[in-house]
Amino acid sequence: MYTGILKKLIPLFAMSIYLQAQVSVSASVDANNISKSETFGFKIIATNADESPSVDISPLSTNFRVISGPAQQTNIQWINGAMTSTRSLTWTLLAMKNGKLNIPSMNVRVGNKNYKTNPIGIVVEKGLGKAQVANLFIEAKPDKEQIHLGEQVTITYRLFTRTNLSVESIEYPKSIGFWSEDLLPARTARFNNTQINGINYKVATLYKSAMFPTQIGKLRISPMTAICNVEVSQRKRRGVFDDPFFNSMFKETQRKFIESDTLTINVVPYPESPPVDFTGAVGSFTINTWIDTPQVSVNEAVSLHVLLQGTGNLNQFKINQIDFPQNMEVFPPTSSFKRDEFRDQITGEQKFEYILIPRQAGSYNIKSIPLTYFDPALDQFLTIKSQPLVLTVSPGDGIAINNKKIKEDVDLIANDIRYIKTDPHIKLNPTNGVFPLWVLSSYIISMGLFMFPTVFMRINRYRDNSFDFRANRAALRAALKDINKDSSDPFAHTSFVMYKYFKTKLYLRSDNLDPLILENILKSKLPPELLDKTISLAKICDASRFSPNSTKKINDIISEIKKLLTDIDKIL
Amino acid sequence: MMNKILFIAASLNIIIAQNYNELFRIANNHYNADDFTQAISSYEEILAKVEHEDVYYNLGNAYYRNGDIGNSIWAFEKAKILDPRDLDIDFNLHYLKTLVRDRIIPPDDLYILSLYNAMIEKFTLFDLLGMVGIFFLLFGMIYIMNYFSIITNRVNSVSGYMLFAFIFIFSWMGFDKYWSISDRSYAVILPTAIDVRSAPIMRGENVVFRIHEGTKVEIQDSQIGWSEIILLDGKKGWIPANKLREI
Repeated sequence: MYTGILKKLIPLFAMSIYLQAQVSVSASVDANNISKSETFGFKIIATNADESPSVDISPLSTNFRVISGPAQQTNIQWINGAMTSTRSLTWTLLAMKNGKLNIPSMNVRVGNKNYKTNPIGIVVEKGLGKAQVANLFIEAKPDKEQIHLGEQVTITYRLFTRTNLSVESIEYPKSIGFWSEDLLPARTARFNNTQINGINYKVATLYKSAMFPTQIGKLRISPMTAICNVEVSQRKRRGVFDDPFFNSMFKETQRKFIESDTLTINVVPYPESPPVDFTGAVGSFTINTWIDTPQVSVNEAVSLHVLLQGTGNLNQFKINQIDFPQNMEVFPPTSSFKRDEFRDQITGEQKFEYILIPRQAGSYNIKSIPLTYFDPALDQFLTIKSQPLVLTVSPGDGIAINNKKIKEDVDLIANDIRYIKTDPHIKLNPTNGVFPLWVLSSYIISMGLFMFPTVFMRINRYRDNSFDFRANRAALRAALKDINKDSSDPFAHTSFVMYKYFKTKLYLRSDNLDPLILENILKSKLPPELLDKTISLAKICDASRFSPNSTKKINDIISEIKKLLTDIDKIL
Repeated sequence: MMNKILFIAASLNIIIAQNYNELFRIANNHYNADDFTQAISSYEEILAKVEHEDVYYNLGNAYYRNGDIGNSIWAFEKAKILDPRDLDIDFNLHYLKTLVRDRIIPPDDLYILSLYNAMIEKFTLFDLLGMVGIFFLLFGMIYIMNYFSIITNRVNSVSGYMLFAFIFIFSWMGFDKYWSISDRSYAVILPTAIDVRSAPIMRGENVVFRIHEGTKVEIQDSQIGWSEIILLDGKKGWIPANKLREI
């Protein structure tokens, strides 16, 4: 009976595990009907997932902008012993178009598996314009709308609101064709009270920038955008907590996205063609020069100071090249700029310091330095000049360099980046970044060098130890080679080769071999006919040594011995 | 069979390389025709698959001409990693850095330390490893010459100690370079200006300072959607991760 119950329970148990482990993924939004300036939350929930889902949200970028996220959340619940876990990712999105928009189905990866979310439709009502959202807007206000090249335009971004809010984040405007300087340091927005058309507003300056155009034409400055958390007034509640004290604790906020207008600044050319010595200075300036001391000795350094003061695009133009007297060495100037922080117009002073070394005695005139600038207030070019200076140089102890042409520096007319690289044969294959062969081979070769002495020693030792064995193996080859060599006493040589063969082959220690000893040794090792032949040939050789007029010819004996040794070698 | 596979692989490699070279040539033509947007997308397409300092260099030029200083500095920094001794890369990077609005003055280092850092910056990891390899090779040759008594003991010991010192110094530099590549990551700021916050939360009150386009920062930590950055002078804070491009 119990087994019957168990049989029924096991599939149930298995099924419950299966159900528990099944992963599902869904997507949701917190509002389907929104206005264009409103943000909304987009959530992807993975139920029963062991790890966080990963999503590619690039399909969203066509219609929506991601304001923040993803925020991650994990929830685990136990209900009647069954565990449910959910992991969610939440983004805050902003619609970039009006009308019916679609959040497409998205690929969600949980572990090794891919899931698809449900597509969601959203209705975006036309964004409320500046006039309609009269209780919250950003005003972008340039101090001029038409300027000349290099003239400063100050743009102030102010946030107007009628409700309490906090600024969550700001995206600063992007301007191409301008050199810009921040006029207001980053800090929390501070609100003041103001009135527009009789309506009270709170206003805070978010950003202020001084911009100097570097090109002519209608230049656009992209809007500044901000996300604010706006307090929403709640329905009146009656009860214990209906008290101003508690109101502050139950405030509800709503995220709002606001955008300033896009500004277009018209940069016009100068009313007249600029003079030749105009280097781009626009504003109102003064120029002053002085030297440390009016009297120096030859080869003694003296500093020439040039001070530009005024309002305008200081630090963005150069002064004209100074015509220094001959026989005076001049080092490139050092420059420093000090800005007056407390004004909206970029005001300050720029200092140049030249080091001069007179190489000859006498009186030097340093001519006045002209500065031509465009004054936007007067709408014309003006030229001012510094005071001329006189430097008296007395002959010193040093050796004067006379009548030498002083070299001149090559002055840059304008700065620009260098040209692109155009070599069409560069190695563009995916193996770049792999260990280069030359690096690897240097290590391998050096390792070989370190191991060489050890290997060399081992080889030598092996050769020494195996000399007998190797000689034994090569005995026949050596004998056949030696026997052909010419000799004054061919019979003695032939018998020597034969005895040497047997000595090596049989590892014999004695050098004194004769046919009798050989017979004794070979008796047990060779068949009788080979033994007889060996002994007889040995005897013939020995006999012929002492009787040169032997009947048998040496060549026949050699060939017989060769054949005999070859046969014996197969047996031994 | 194996030979065939190797042959196919080698020829595929050549074909791929030729395709990229062709794309590089087309991108350069776009650049010359002042079509910088198209040039940028072609260079980026090449760099998605292969890395080369020339491509990064040209990409940096194209971004600069397009008015995007942040991405331009990013590309030149990438090029500098691959070829730290190229003068053109140095020049352009230096020029672009003058256009960055933030002036960050790092604290002064000891002379020796700054010399050491400059040396490490001028060499790639493979350069350093190669130099250690060459010193090992010389060491091995000295060892062999001493073994066969070609040089005197004195020459052997003096040159041995010197080479050992070089090997030690350059290996140390190599390790240092490796650690700096693997452990530290840098990035360049892309938007015109961005508020840096004291915590990875968008809230009006937690802005600590503001930095501008093109500023190089070190990434210290990251959370989903956020990166903790530190400037050269030690200022620290959080910005959204999509506002910077990692080098």
